[in-house]
Amino acid sequence: MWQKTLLTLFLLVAAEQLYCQEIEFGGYGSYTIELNLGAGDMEFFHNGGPVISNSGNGAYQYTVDISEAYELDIVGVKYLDAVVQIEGPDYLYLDGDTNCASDTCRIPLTLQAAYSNSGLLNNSPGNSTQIAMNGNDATVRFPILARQFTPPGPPPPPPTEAFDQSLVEETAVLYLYGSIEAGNLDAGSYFNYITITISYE
Amino acid sequence: MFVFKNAIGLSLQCILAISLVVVCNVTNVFSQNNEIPTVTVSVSAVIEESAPEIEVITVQTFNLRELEPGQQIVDIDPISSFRTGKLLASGQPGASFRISYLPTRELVNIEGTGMIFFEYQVTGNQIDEQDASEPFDTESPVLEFNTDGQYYIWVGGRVNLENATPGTYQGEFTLEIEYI
Repeated sequence: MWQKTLLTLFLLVAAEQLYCQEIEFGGYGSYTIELNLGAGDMEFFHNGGPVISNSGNGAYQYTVDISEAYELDIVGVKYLDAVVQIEGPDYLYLDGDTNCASDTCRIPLTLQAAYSNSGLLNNSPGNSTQIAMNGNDATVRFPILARQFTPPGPPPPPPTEAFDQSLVEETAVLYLYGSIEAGNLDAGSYFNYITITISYE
Repeated sequence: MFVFKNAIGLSLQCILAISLVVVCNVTNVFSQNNEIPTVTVSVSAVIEESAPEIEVITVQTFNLRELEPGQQIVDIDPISSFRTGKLLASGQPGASFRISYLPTRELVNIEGTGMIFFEYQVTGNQIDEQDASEPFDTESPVLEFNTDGQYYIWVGGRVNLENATPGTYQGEFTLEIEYI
């Protein structure tokens, strides 16, 4: 009986230690991932010019369609998964003043996002996957290069000093688009910021 | 016997331990990050206040009184005649707009037979000076409201009274103004 108890304890202790085990095996790796901004801002226009208050389609809506979306390039190891976190604001504020609490100095923003991971030459808005948004925030995980109808392959060996990441790099694209409601607004410049964070998973 | 069981237990532990260590290693390789890139994207819009609706009021109606006896054609020079109709358009100060109008109109005698035929001529000016107003065709060039959001319009033309009979005539001058 004592022997059985001892054996059981050994296994439990061992299992607990293994569960918590964090070996810095990958700490010797040097995988990098880049997030490259597109040109300019994500801007809403009316016929290429300023948006007119109390106008627009439907409920004073102006849109940045996915075909004209703001693009960010994600450059990383093609067989690794990236996790992209998007934190978008609820409003654009007149002169960026987030203290505004009136609907005459802030514009409701509906942010949408999509990614394309079909490879540098095949990435396009029409070849993208829409990202499910939680309000204007989202977290999504996808491989830098889509695995074409195959399950994930075995994990790669950890990089060594001879590892050249450029040989296994690929580019995915993140698209940001959406709409604003230009109701009864004071004239001026409205803006805010979307934060994008990316890491390997 | 005890030794044998203990040896088996340790062996199982070792195998289990090695297996789980491998799983942990794999997970750690995939979650390895030397850096976590974060960027901010500016999202913006420039808003202009919507322009007020354009309103046109009649300041002065046509004056066809005191005609010469038997006069059948009345020429009303929109730049100089005292008989012109005068309109005042109000809109967004400084905003561009265009005017278009129907060049002819028949006025009918509401008390009987007879009609008056109008061929319109129109001039306009940012200031209230008729003799400095500029003529334009049925579709004007690009015009602008003055700093008070006003624009003056004078309507003249040729009035044909050949088929007119005594009575009261009524009709309308159709003018369209829209922002550009």
